[in-house]
Amino acid sequence: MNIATPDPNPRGAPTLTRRQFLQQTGALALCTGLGRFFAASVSRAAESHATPSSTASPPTFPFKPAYLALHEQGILRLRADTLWDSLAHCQLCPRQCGVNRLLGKQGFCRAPGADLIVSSALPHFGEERPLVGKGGSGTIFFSHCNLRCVFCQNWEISHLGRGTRRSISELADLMLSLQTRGCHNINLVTPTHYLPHILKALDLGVSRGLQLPIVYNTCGWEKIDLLKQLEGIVDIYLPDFKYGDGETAAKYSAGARSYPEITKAALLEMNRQVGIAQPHADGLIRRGLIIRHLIMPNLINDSIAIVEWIAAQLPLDTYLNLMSQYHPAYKAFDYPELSRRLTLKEYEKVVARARELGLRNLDLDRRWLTL
Amino acid sequence: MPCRFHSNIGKIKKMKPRPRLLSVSALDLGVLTQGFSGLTGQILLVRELLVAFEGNELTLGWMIAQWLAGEAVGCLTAESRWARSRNPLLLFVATTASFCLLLPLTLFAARWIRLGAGTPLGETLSPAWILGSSFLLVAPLAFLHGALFPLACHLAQRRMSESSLTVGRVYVLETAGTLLGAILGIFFLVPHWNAFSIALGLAILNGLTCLGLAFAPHARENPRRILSPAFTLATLLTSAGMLMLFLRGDEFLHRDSLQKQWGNMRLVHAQPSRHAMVCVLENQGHYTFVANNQVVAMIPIPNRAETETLAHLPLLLHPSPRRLFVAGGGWGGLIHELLSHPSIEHVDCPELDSVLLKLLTAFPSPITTAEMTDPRVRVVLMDPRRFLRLAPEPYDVILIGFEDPTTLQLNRFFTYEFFSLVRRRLRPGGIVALRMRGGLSFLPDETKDLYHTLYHTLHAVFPHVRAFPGEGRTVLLAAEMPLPDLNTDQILSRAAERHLFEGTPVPWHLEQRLHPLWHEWFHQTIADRPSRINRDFHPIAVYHTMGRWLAIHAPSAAHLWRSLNLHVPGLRIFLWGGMAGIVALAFAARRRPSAPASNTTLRTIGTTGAAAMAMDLATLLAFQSTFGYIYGWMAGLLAAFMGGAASGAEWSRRHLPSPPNRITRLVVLDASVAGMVLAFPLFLHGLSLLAPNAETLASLSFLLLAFLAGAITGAQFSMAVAVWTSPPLPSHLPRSASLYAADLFGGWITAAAVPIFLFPLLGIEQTLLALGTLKVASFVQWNHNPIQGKNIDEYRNPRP
Repeated sequence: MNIATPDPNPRGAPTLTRRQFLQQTGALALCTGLGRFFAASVSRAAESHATPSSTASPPTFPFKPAYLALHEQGILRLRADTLWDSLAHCQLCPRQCGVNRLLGKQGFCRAPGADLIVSSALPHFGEERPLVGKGGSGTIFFSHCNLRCVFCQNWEISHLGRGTRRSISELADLMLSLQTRGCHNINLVTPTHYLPHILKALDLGVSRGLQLPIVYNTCGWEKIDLLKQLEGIVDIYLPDFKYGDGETAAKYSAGARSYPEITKAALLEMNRQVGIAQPHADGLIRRGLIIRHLIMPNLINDSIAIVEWIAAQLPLDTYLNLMSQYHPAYKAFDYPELSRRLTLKEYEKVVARARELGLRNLDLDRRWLTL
Repeated sequence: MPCRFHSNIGKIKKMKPRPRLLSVSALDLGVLTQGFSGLTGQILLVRELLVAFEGNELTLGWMIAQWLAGEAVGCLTAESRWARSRNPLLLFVATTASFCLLLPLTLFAARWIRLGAGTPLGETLSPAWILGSSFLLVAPLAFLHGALFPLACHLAQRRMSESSLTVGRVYVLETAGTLLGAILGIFFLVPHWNAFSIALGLAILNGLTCLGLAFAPHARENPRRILSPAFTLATLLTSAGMLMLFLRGDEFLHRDSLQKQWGNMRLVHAQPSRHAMVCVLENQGHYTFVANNQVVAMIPIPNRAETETLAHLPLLLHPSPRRLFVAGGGWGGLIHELLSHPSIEHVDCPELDSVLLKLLTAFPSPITTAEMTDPRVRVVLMDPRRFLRLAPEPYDVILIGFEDPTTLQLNRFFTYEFFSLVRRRLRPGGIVALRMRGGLSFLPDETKDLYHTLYHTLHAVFPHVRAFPGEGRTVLLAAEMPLPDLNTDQILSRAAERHLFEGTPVPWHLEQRLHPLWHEWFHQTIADRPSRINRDFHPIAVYHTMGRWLAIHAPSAAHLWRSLNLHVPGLRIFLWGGMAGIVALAFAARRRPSAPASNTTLRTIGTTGAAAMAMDLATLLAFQSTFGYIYGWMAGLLAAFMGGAASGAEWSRRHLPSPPNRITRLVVLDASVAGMVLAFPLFLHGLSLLAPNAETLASLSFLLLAFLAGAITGAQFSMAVAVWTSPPLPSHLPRSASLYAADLFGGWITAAAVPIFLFPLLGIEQTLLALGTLKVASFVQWNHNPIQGKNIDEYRNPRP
């Protein structure tokens, strides 16, 4: 897929977005004393498009997310349309099924054609602290998954695809309602196979007032050309880095042998786009790369390989969340090596190695380490 | 309904006296063993299936229905086809041998179900697997056992001249065997022997009794042959059983089938208790304790996020917790966290299952050892609910560590009645805490319904309830006084004052739960759900958990499930309206003098079959809701009911009134059944109130109640058969087989529908009242042509 960056002004004529038109007209009205009539008509126009969740006055936002500029230039919409057209021969993820989702075909992820299934949208207060703040992380969980891990704790949505069918407009409204509730970001969980829908909804949402940074919460197994489509749209990348070994990935994630190689390339690209995740004065992270790694029992060498790669290839300030909360779920009990919890020794070993390597921005289970 | 008893009362007419051929005592033993084996085999299989179905008692109805159907078909088949055999003894022995061979095979298959279905540990089988597997395993065994009865009757008739006496004697002996099976099963066999040992023992016992039957000189078809085919077969059966036992084949089958059940996981110990099959799985020094396929503990590493949250949230919100009570789920981390609070002086941990405690001691971890040996912790072998009622001092915090109410046994700790008890046992300012399963990534309607029900039930007892959602589990706290609205800093400050987490950061999974907006989000999430109160005899929470299970495995059925829940008032109107309509129709039918009485009788027996099954199931489910250990008492309750049915039938047979009064007796019995069903809820409630103070008396009273319910329904069926078989009838009037089929159909419909739908949705009381109304309608319809166009009065006082 090519990055869609056409010349927005092929004939040299000035282009005007709806926002700009309203702003200019409003200024003119104010100057001519017709502001009150203008305000009334604008508010009526806003109400006709507003959903019940988005009628509240939007708060001020100290941070302008990257996609606003692309929206104004029309590039966001163009990319959304391009990705949508690519559903005719879907190769959004490394599975590269090539099915025609526009005709309702299902690929490996089992997303129902071009329909969008959302399982949940809520202000989440349990994500990483710098994403939660006071208002929470506006999290939208998408159903289905292209990785299908045997130990998945969200297997009802990732494997069974449970959720609710939503339109693009409804997805935009979900985003806006999370903004209205005071969330600090829009956190898209397992978004890859619905990226066309997401970009369309994002474009629609921006025209309705969306201004929160996007968190791209992914399994990490992402194609570079897809990530390039997200440049300038996503402010925070939140990928998993699950496996350092291809055979392990193939065993537990439905044959995804290329997982390590593709994910490494993806992480480098993400880092290039958004850089290190640094919190602002209010403690919130609004831009940057946050990597999650769930340490699993009997896969410590794999985990060590992962932290070694991160230390070698990414800045030592890269935000790395070493998670200890693995517990057997779904079909994990079919694999004896996964049928138990992580021990403190295993966790300590990985953490120690990460510290040895000089990784400085570690999100750890500090209570467990100091017990 | 125990169909095999009733079906053969109706067959009295067909049996003609034959010359005496068999030794009386050998056949008596054979029939006794047959009854003993039938109940024992049934209970062994039902227990294994309950384990496979994660202890869900509502599936008992399906299993009982399958057994009924299988017995009935076996009975009818043997009567209609095999009875003409020239060698009934060989058939009897062959059928017995087949039963004895099939029993261990079905037990083995029952343990394989979950592996065959690919269902991981902790998840539930699909309804298709539950229905299909219970049918395939239960029905054939029941078929063989059902076939034995008419064969035994035919054998018996050869020695007695009066066929009715023959059948009656067989009844009594088989009933005695059944009761013996129940008593020995509960108190001796099951607690001390594994299922395969018992099955092999049954094979040997049956083989020996068959040998006795076959060896009797008069039994041989050809007296000059010492070894008849029946004798050979009986010898083979006995020898095979003994050889297997000698070679410890029972142990091998037991261990091998258990290990197969767990696939790749290493099983180190398995032991049945009164309440469950408890298994211990080992993996690199980590142990998982499983009871009826549900994980109850994992050591040595606890799920820290869950245990720390459930432990510290209520304790930090309490100003000074000293006395604690933990109901379930405490071992392996939760109690350890509770004890880290320095103000704690005493923790009561009643445990229902002594086997679980014993295994936690046998496979210890540093955490469980510390928990069990801490002087502040008191471990008591008692039902937690009963202990709470009897506890001498109140508590500051009561924690309900059990997970979702997926079974009636667990539901007992999430009901209005239990929460009311909790409130009475809390000190002023005390807090109760419980947890509910459900992730944030997906909250389907069924989960929201469950959340709302539990929240609403708590709120019906406690004025102040607060939710702390999070990944994996949501914690609910409730109190009589307002819960302190402490912010994160205040909570952390309190933790510091108590020297909790000293030197260590407060874990994020605990801190993030305190976010003030979680509770608001929770309220908004469950706001639009219908409000229900979860009660002991109205287990609506179990309905919701079953709905969640259906939504995964059978989405279209789940849609109907949700619809029923949303329209319960409409369902009530429909049901009661339907009952009223039926009563009205019954009144109308009385006015039609030409209505055939045969149809009336069929309706009567059909509705009695339904009512009897409803009472039987209500007894089982009420027992479980009251005591929590149906697993160990199922045999007794089923046997009590069946024994009652047989006793009632026998009483009717022995006290037959003269023919003109039989219809009256039938109608009186019908009214008695109706009265019994209508009064049944009162009896159940009375026993549940008696139970906490007199457990043994109450549990024995449940047995008595089951017996009485069986007796009255058995007496009616026997009377109905007697009415239609003596004196002889015109051919167009129903034979006993039709009556038997009506009885079976009524029972089968009830077993399939009532425990799954009506009990949880409407409650046991309303369901029984509805069925009682149905029986009233059946009673009301009587007043017309009982036999051959004559009305009751004419029949009673025939004109010259």
